[in-house]
Amino acid sequence: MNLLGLPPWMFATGLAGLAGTLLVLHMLRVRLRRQRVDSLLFFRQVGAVHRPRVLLGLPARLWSYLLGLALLAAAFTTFADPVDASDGPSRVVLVDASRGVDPTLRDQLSDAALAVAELDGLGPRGRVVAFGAAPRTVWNPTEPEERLGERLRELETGGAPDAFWSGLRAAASGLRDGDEIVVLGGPSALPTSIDDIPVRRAGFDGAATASLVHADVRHAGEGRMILVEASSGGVEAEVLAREGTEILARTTIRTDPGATTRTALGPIDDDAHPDLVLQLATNGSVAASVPFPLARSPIVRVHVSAEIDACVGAAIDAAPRLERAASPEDADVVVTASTPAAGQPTKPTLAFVEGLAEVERSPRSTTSNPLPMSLRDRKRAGTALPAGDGEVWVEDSTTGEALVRRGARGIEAVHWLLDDPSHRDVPTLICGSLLALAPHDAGPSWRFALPPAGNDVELALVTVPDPFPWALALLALALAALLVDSWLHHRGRVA
Amino acid sequence: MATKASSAPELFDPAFLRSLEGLRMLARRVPSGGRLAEQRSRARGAGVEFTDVRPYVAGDDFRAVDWHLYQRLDKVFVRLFLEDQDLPVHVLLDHSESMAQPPLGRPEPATKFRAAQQAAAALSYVGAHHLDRVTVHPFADGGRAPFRPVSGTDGFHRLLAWVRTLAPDGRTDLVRAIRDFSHRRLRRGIAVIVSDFLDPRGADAIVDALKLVPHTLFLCRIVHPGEDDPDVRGELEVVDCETGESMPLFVDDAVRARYRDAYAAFRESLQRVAGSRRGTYLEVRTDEPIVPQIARVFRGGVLEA
Repeated sequence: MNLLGLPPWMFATGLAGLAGTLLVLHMLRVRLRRQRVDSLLFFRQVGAVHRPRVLLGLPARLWSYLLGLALLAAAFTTFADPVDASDGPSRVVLVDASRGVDPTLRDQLSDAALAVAELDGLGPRGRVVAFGAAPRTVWNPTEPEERLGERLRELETGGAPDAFWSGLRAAASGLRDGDEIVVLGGPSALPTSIDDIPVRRAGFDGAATASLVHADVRHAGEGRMILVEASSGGVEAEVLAREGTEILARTTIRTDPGATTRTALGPIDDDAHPDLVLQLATNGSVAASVPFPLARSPIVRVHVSAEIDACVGAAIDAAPRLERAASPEDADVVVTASTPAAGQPTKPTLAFVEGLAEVERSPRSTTSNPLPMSLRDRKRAGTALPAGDGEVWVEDSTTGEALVRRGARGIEAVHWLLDDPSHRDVPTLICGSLLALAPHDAGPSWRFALPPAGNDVELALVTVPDPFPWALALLALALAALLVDSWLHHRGRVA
Repeated sequence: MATKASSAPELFDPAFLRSLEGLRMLARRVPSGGRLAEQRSRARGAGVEFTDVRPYVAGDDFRAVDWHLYQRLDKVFVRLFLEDQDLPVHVLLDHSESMAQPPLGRPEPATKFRAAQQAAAALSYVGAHHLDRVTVHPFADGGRAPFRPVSGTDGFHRLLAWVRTLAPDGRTDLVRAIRDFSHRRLRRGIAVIVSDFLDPRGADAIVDALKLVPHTLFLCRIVHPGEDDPDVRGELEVVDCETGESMPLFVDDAVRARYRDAYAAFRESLQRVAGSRRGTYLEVRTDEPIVPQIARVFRGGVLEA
């Protein structure tokens, strides 16, 4: 409901004026006094040429006719379909501006819409309608061009999933033969016509519903992985982590319109300040671009117990984000050779324990393991962790017994995984585990407000900017003039 | 809507009757076939007015022999006299719903029907008192059968008791009542029509029906005071009391003038038809005593019919 294009207070004032006028007229209405008579014989002879005044009678004076007709015509032209003002082919540009908060994209949409208006012309009934949180007419040719960009940037996102199609049909119903609908953005598949009104896509190839939906960050060794949920809108698209002109990571996605997929970008250095960019593979146009700076992780203070220092000390000293702590009280994480006893207050602990039952084992990462460990040296003699609760990161592929496990108090790993210094996964195991145990967030996690386009455009089509503000007052005045004239002056018409 | 029947004491009192005793309806000539009474008829028989003689034939009354002619002409003749007979008086009494209406725009409770009862009874008394045969024909939509003819004072009182049982009810169908009355083969006399004459079919239909009446007309129209110029103004919804039909109307001076014109034209048409039949048109106002109004048409106490 757009309140006939009026502000709510003005609409309410108009309604109150109409209601007041009707109330006054109701109070002033002709009240016929009932009179029983012997016969209507003589009254019929005089009643044939004299009627009583009536509330809704025809005006008795010419000026009342003229005034009433003029006011009614003014009200009609104001309230009637505003696109019917004149003849000539016209063009409605439907802009799908619901994808993302990227001002660059909206500027492109604005430029594309203005290009359509300049090159093809909008015609007398033409205008630009944008689908954001609520569809609205954002520009008509009588306004300055910069107004379009301003309004598109201010447009909020959100709305029903099928609003674009209902809006398309509504736009077609307001047009005539010879008119045209031009779509910028919107779904990848568009009909060639709707209700005999041609529909074409022009100018902007921002394609379909390509959008970024969600992104968050995971630690990945010494860097970060950005997990992105996105939609390509039915075409092939690339998701980029771009810092300036340098592309830090990229991946390719392809989804159906409206569907989303998850993909990972990385690893990316902690110091990077990338933009997440969704770029269409077809023409390289940018569908969305969002700044996504990765916060630098704080230094993790690690205390290493003496009995194990010889094994892990060097790896910790080499890691850029780890720093030695003299005592367990000063440390964020503790590395020991035994699992802390239950109930003992302690910091998160990475424990390398001896384990049980030494047999030939083949270590294998489980799907729960967040650390990028390759574990290429297989089948060697070793022990397994005692049975216990927690998330198994590395297991024996033969027996399924846990070799590395994340529990409530920390991470346990069998000691023999440290035996071979050439093991390429040891630094990852040590540093990754310590960073995972560190009590701080891995990085930003955003959910983008990128729903499908708009909602009912039918109301937007009558939301013409700058509507005639006195239309209701004119209509009320016209009705009042006609009715009061009828009441005051109607004395019947001489036959 | 039926209203309460009038009681005899309310309609008449001895003074009322005494005031009527001086009035008489006198026919110029009554048709033969009636009973002996006081009206001069064309019939020859027992009377007091000598008219002729004829030769005696066997069976004639010896008391009618003119002995003076026998002495001079030596022939026996009998004297002939005009016989006095009664005058048929037919009173058509309207007891439709419109007769119960109070005056328009006035609070007086008087109704036309009460005046009509009094007028009908008064004229009946004038006839019955002089031994004329009086018959009252009440009419309205679904009206009652006429009361059998009466004459003399006793008969009048029976008639009066019956008249007071009448109550206004039903719709006016004056035209049909007059036509039905005209088609009945009744001995010619006086037809007294007591009504407001407000038949929805209008004056022309009433006049056409009255022309069919073979009797001398006595149109007694009961009117309310100011009926010819109703004291109403403004926006009205006038409702016919009989049919319930209504019409919106704005009454101003111009409308009232037109109403008066229409009313006067209606009255004039009734006067004209009564005059053309050597009859009488009388308007009886409901707010005035009945007898003086009736007596005005009895010149010298006699109404020649």
